[in-house]
Amino acid sequence: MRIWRNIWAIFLRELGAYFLSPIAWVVLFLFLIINGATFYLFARIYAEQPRQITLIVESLFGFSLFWILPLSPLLTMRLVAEEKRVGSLELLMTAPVGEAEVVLGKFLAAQAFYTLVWLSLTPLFVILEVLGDVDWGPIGAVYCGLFALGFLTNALGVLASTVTRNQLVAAVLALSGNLVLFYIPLTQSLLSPDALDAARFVRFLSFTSHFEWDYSKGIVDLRYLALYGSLTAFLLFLSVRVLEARKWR
Amino acid sequence: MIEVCELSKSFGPVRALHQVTFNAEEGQVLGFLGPNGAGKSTTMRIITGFLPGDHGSVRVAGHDVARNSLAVRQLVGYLPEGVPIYPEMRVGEYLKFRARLKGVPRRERRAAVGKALESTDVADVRRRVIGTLSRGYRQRVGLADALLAEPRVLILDEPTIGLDPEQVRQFRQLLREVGRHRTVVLSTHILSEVEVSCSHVVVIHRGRIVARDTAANLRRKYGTVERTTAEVAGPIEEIRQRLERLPQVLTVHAVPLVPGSSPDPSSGNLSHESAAPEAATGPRFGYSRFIVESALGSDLREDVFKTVQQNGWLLRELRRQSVSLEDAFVEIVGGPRG
Repeated sequence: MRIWRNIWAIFLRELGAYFLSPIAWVVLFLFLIINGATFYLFARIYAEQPRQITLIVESLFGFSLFWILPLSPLLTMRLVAEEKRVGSLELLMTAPVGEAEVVLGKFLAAQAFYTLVWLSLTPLFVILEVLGDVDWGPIGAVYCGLFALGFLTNALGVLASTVTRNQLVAAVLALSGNLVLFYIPLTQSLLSPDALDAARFVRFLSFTSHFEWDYSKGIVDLRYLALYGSLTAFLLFLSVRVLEARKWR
Repeated sequence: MIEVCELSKSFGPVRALHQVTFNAEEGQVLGFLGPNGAGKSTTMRIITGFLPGDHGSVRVAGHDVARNSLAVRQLVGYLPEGVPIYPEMRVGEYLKFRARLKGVPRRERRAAVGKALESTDVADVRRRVIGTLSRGYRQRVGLADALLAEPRVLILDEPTIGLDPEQVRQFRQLLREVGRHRTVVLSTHILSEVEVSCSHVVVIHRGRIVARDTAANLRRKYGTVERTTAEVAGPIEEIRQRLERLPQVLTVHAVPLVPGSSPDPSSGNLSHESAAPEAATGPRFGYSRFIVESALGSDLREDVFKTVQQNGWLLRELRRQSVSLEDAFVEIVGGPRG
């Protein structure tokens, strides 16, 4: 009860802080402008094609996936690093709140804002729906995948933010972590053609490929969600330990 | 209420605290006094559970800070040095957030925030963004935060820095009110602060407790001398020896005053032009300042005057001062180790 109240308090404060900080507005603004322009381009490109609406949706998602790389680092870099730099962590951690509650509250606030950023694309699909017939299945599945991947990248960002007092360092660390996630599929080329199990394992870890093979076809694989979930839990656990490290003797 | 026992803490090779021991009871306002870098903030961080000590124990209301930090934090209102509060939030919002964190029940939150705003006199800025506030206001918002959940223990790190004299006066009044039923520890390097606000004093220097007593006792204990200052023109060595022979004198310091640079400008030129006493033999003498320390309660002024008169020297200043807490502090801190 007390734990959830604390998480809720920190969640509300951090979410509020997003709307008070220029970075969130800049990200949201650029995200909408650039995706709007991409949407317009694809609408022009595929105007005469059959199945044009599906093509537009797929291309839009295909390109906006690049946003996964910088989005979470930008949204999470401030969370703990800034508190350390300013010293407000001292006030926060001397209130009757546990480290886990602080980490969870902040993480959930980042996740909420991250979700909001992706949901801001929805009006584009509504426009398509007005003009034609949109298959909402794949869209829902991709949103689901983005939400789940967001758990992972946001948790990574929170961890990066707990290890430094410099926001820029936190962002670079988180971005590098995301890049590693993106590069996992490339490691397949290192495997011998016979190592089928290894190849399957690499595919299982190829987060970006999940969008290509599953979500965009409207498939939500629970194994992937379990994978994201457990990695997220592990990263958040590490963040809590890092925050607690100041108390180690 | 607060029991600190043989607390030590090092940061790498730097020893910040060494076997620090002191207590604070309910209703006490404990002044934690020391020069910058003495270990005041470190001690406070350990009491509030933000940092662990290396050795020793800290108990607040019977709870061990290291083992039961949450219980301690529920009892303590803390104002850290520099008041690190979120600059982007509004004052009212911030206090509401803190009240929620500190577990003030939803129904009482508004009243609690209102009361804290009132008592620290920041109600007029409750809608202002914290980052735009002056230092004095921010300090008081931090104090309002510390008072929010009616804590039994208040830990205030340099609470009056950045306040103007009127605000300092108000702060002291507030402290008297809130300190009646609480335990207050406040750190400062300003002595007058302790003399006015605190019932008890702990003096810390280079991580060690060098004195621990009531403010009154401390002054009595360390204020062991009366100091008589005289400015006399005459042969320095001879005057010094004569003064040393007076009853109850402990030490005599002599400082020659350079003509023209006397601290008293009206007599500065005079000493240069006509300072030489007629009765003195040999070269013309300038003024020197003699600081005579004697046993507590003695008054040497008449004796000094008579000595000067008998020898035909000139006297232009003669005053006696008892050692203040300020001097006691300088004595303790600058003492054997200084």
